[in-house]
Amino acid sequence: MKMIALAGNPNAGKTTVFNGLTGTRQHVGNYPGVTVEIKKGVIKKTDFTLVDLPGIYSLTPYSEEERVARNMLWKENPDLIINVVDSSNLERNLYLTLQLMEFGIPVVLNLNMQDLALAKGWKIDTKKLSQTMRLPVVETVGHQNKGFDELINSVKVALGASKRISQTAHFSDSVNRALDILEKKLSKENASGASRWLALKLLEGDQDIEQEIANTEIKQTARELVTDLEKEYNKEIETLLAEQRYKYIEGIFLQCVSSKLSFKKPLSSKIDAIVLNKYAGIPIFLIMMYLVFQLTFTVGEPMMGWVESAFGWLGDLIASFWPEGSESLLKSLLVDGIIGGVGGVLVFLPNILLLFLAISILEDSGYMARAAFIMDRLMNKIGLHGKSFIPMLIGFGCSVPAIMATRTLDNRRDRLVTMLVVPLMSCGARLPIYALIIPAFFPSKWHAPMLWLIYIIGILLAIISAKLMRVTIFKGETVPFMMELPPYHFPSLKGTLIHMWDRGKLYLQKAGTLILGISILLWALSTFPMLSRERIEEYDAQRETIVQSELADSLQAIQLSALDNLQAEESVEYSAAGRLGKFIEPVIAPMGFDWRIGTSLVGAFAAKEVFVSTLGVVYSVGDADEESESLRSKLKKNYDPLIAFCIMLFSLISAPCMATIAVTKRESNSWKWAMFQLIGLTLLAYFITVAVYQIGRLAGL
Amino acid sequence: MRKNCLRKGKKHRLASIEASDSIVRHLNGMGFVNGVEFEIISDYNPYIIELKGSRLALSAELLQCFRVG
Repeated sequence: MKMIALAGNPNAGKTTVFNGLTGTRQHVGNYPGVTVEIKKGVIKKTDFTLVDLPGIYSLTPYSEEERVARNMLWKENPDLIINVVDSSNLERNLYLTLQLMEFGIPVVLNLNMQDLALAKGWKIDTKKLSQTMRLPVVETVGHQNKGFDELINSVKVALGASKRISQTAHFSDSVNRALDILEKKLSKENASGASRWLALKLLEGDQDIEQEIANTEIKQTARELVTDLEKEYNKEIETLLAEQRYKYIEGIFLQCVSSKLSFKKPLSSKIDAIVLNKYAGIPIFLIMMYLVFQLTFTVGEPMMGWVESAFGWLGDLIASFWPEGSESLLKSLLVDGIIGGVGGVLVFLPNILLLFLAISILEDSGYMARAAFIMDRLMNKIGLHGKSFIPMLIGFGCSVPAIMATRTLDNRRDRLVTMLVVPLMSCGARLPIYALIIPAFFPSKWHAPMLWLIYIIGILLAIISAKLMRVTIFKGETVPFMMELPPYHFPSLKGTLIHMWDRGKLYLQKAGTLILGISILLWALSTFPMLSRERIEEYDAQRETIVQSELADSLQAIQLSALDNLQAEESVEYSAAGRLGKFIEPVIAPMGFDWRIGTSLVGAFAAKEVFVSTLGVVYSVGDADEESESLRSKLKKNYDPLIAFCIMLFSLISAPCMATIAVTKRESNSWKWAMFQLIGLTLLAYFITVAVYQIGRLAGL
Repeated sequence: MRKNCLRKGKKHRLASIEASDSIVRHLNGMGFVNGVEFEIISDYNPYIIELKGSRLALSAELLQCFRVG
């Protein structure tokens, strides 16, 4: 089976070409050990595997993406490379083409975005370009689905005649002489056929390649040759090689591109004049983000309700296989553990699909680059990239899609820091906790300020944590802001939907594996050990007594419900989760918390909002929600406003829910960072809450 | 390049880039090579530069590494 790599600069329309060539026959995965995605597919009407490489500018790695792309070409040795080029940026894009030709694997040049080149008044003579560069050239307009059949045919022909030849004729004679010397030495030790390219990389001083070459004599020769070349040309070697490549490209461009002078300002420039305006830029950005937020959470809300109802219906259906009122462990496992647990996480699927729909539209239209540009000045102050703002904003809705949105960040350090601080943006699932506690302990005029204070504390902690991480564990040279602002265009429906589905599919896969396991574990913790048979029989006997009594039906119902709640409270207290709550009581006592709060916090790891329902169970008020007055009055009897504030503070800062931890693991490709987030945030929450409680008590609050 | 050398709407010719090798290589890949002409479109940090018909955003800090002829 032939393997073909798809390479190109960022924003050259590579993804559209990939979708056009493979249709829906594709899947996404991660490169081992890194967070960079690999997309593979099968080219239509063939059995050729197409590997979509990350967008790159050169084969000398600067970012993780460039390293992955370079290593894939070097180590996996594809049979052919399709180089997708933005025709309207031909000169700059051909710089990578030359490097691919230097690499030696046969290249098919795909001139994409022909419509934009025409709009600029450019006419590219593809025949002449093909003859001059000695490679097949095919034109496409990706978003209009034009030219893909011709591209596939060209790939078939090129594969038939493929031969590995490293092309370096664009360099001067002196450089080629140096390459000859090094190639000769390297070919004795390297059988991959990439000796000339390795020689070039040694001249360029590529550290990864230098490490791969064991022969010190070859490395010494390379250093001597570099010194000679630098002396001859009076400039550094990388500058010299880049200049020679661009000089050659300039010649090609003058020969193959004829342009009509256009005095019309391009549409992208007109849009940028408004969107990137010093004064209007930020308000426009905020409106866009508001729309993303609305789409994700407001439009998504009824859909969440549908998913919730579907799981509720499924739970009822499964429960109906057992006689009404009967207690079965299997029923509890299926209904409460598996369906309840997985359903509780899958309920976010509509949000995730809608969020990625919005992100995909913003990215494909070209606005995302502008958003990063606008926010960079602000985010730079806390050591983050402009693009970090978007995940942080989404974090106010839900940390899960927010962490997935960090994919738009190119730099791994920025991505990890953003991922780790996103849970400090108070998510929607914490709102029921505040909604329960604030009205119970604070006068109505303090409700809004108190809620505002909690959110502000989260934002400030995120800023401080990000800054601290950037100067400690993630310290290093700040990556200077440099990015391309691609021309605006309409995203294709197919591309947008494929993008959205790719992300949704990953989330579904996670729910079916890791989250299923954690749900069963949490169910077991709150179910086992069960109350003794004698104790359950005592409860049953009491129920029987109530039923047999001559009390009115309504009174019987009240007493039976109170008894159910009492049994539920005792069951939780007796379970591992309850024991865990009691076990941690001495540890949480300095925060003013008792075992009931501790048990509820254990339950909140499944999902933050579970804190309220667990508290309802341990306080024998049955199925409580954030509006429950009976639960509020019990809380008021047992705690004071300082403890109430500490509960909110701890819930805000502590370990996010299991779905967030799972998604951090997946996105960082490492348990280390997921555990760091879990333990780090919990410790941070603990120390801050202890300090607030103890200082509050000393101050007589 | 000193910040005060940057004029919106003015064209500059790049003489050299004084930065680390990796940044220089990356900028070379983006099209910034000695002798190339570029124009400042916006001088509000990050700066917007027009280079060979495409637009790039660069931080002021990075632009200070540019020497222009």
